Amino acid sequence: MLHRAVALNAPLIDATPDEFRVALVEWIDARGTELQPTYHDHGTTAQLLDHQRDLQRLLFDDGWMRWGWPTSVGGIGGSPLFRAILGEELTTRGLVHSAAWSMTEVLGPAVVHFAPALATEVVPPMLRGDERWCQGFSEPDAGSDLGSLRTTARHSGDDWIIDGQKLWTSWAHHAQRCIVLARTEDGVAGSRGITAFFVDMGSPGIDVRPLQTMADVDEFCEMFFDAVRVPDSRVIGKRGEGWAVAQHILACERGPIFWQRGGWLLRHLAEVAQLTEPGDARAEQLLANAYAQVIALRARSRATQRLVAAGHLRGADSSIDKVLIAAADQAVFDAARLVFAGEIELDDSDRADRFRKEWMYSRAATIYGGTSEIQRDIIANRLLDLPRGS
Amino acid sequence: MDAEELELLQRTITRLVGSADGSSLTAGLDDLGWLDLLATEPSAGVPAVFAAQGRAGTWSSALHDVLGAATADFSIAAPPDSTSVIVPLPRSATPGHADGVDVRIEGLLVGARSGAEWLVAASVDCDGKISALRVPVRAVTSERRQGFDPAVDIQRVSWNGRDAATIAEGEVARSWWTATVALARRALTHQLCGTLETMFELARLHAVDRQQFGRPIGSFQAVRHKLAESKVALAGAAATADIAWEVDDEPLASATAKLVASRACALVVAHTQQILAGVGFTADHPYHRAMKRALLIDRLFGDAYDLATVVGRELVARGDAPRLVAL
Ligand SMILES: Cc1cc2nc3c(=O)[nH]c(=O)nc-3n(C[C@H](O)[C@H](O)[C@H](O)COP(=O)(O)OP(=O)(O)OC[C@H]3O[C@@H](n4cnc5c(N)ncnc54)[C@H](O)[C@@H]3O)c2cc1C
Repeated sequence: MLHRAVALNAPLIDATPDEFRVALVEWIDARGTELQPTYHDHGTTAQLLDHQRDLQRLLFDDGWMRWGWPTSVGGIGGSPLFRAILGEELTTRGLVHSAAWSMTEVLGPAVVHFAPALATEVVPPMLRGDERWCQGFSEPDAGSDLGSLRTTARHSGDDWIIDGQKLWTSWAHHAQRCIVLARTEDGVAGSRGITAFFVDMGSPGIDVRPLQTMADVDEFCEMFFDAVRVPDSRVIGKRGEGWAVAQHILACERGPIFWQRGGWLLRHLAEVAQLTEPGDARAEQLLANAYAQVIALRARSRATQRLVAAGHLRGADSSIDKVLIAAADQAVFDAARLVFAGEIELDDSDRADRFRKEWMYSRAATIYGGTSEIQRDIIANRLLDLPRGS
Repeated sequence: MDAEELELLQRTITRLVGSADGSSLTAGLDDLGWLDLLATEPSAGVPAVFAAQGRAGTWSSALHDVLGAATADFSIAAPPDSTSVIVPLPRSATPGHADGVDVRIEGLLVGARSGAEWLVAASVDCDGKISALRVPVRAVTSERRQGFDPAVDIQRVSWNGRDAATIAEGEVARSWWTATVALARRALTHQLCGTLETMFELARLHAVDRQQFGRPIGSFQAVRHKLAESKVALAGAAATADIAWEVDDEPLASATAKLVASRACALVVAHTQQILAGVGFTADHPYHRAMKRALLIDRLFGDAYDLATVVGRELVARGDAPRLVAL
């Protein structure tokens, strides 16, 4: 299977991003409805994740999912821009759900970077959709102030023993692995003394309880860790290096992943534009102002993608992308809500349900991945050289 | 032009644009080969000149030249040294309006080169058809306007009559005007971004230097977040201005770029003025000149409201939200 895929895609190794896109679109078009989700509205969490898994297998087996990833982790190599293009072409067509699609790009790169040996084993099944990962950072008392997290890991023989609680962990109830931040040193607080672990969700002592979001979706969970054993070999990076691992993940979560989200937003904006009566001046203003924000995000994001491809992304830079996307996301679905004039509040159609869920999810855009206030603090501190706040 | 040449060009232009203003800047740009650059490599020359003018707060005849640039592409007989293209009034898509054979032209000349003998105006008739009209300068009523920013030479021009020469019509005229407006919007977007950057930097430095309650005001989160938001808006506007040169769909990309910059303008003006507070309100401080310049540029070829109308109509007409930017 792998041989077939490489042979199939070999001419693309030196392809420009546009050549890659053209080849990919040809493949997508040739598959036709085979790639379409079978659920017809927003879909349940299980439905959309299952569909994504099936699609990922197809994409992996035909090579597309492997472009831009190093060969050591089952990739084919080539520009990391190819990964962003794949996401964009899928979300723009509504073949995957943008939020769920971001997981590989948020969590994968840090494991490749900090744990190359482990990555050779765990990344290929993740790319193929066989295994899903989740991100165990936030806790009941550690939200914006991630450095105040309290989950601990004690060393015992060749294992670590994790105790504590995580909160808001997206799709943990459908995940096979979790990247968990825990305190490993006594007597140090804040960002020091934290280690990142690659934890099997099937380990004894992990209890996962799904929570319903305001959109009535089981999107995130609370997780309880009661003496969960994790072998030494599952430390990501070095002991005490967890903060650096977290920063790497957050830099991905706040910038590079938004190329595909931009495509997702434009897809929805196009749908609203199609449903707008010509001459509706209010709708024109709403659509255009949302569109302008998405295009500004895309223009900015393109520069970010190029920095990523060249290996120069600075964490603070992606905070700008995060603030831009959060506002654009909300503007798009606010425009939809206002243009539809009551559909989101009053109707029970599939479209109303889908846009209602998207509108509600967009409220979290200024929260997940670090709130917009926290991003502004980062920008002020690291990009504007302002004196530190008190 | 490779990256090194471009950087050298930008440096040379920045130095010139920061050291001269008005007609002496125009003369300096001419010596530098600006008109040639505009004709052959607008995507290098226009951003460099206009962004530098924005940052330095200077004004040359570059906008006049940009407005004339497309005439040659459409073989419209309007040599830039003897012709000025009229800027439409705010809220108007064209300076000319035709009602049967009667034509009314109302518009602006903004930093035009002296010595022009002819004025060219895009004109729209009752069916929405565009034509390019030419009238002799001596037949036009012209009045100097001081307005918000007297440093810029602005003439309010008007003409009524039946005997304007039609120098282009049909598809040629429409394409010429679309291209002219798109180029002007891109140029002005760079200038607006440059102007906003200067305002931002004045406010940022003030936040570092100014002490109250025993600490720099830049340590107060209310101030820090205003600056961070401004930075985000500027980064988005600058990136959009850049991509507008690479996109095939230039009219939509240019209108969107200026819309993004105009939105940033409203935010940056509000935030920077507030941070500079009393000192920024004085005539001695350089802030107000940049701020007035920003609002003048914002007004030309569509402010945020007008451009949102343009862009929104386009999205509805197409039933699409084009991606514009590719990786
Ligand atoms: C949909 C969704 C999915 C998520 N998925 C995950 C996940 O998969 N994994 C994970 O680990 N986490 C996840 N999170 C958690 C997310 O990272 C946190 O919600 C976020 O970091 C904010 O923390 P908090 O909710 O505790 O808010 P708090 O930190 O309590 O903040 C409350 C308010 O105070 C403001 N505030 C806090 N500190 C400051 C400050 N210093 N200056 C100014 N204002 C401040 C905040 O901006 C916010 O407005 C998810 C959240 C959501 C909504």
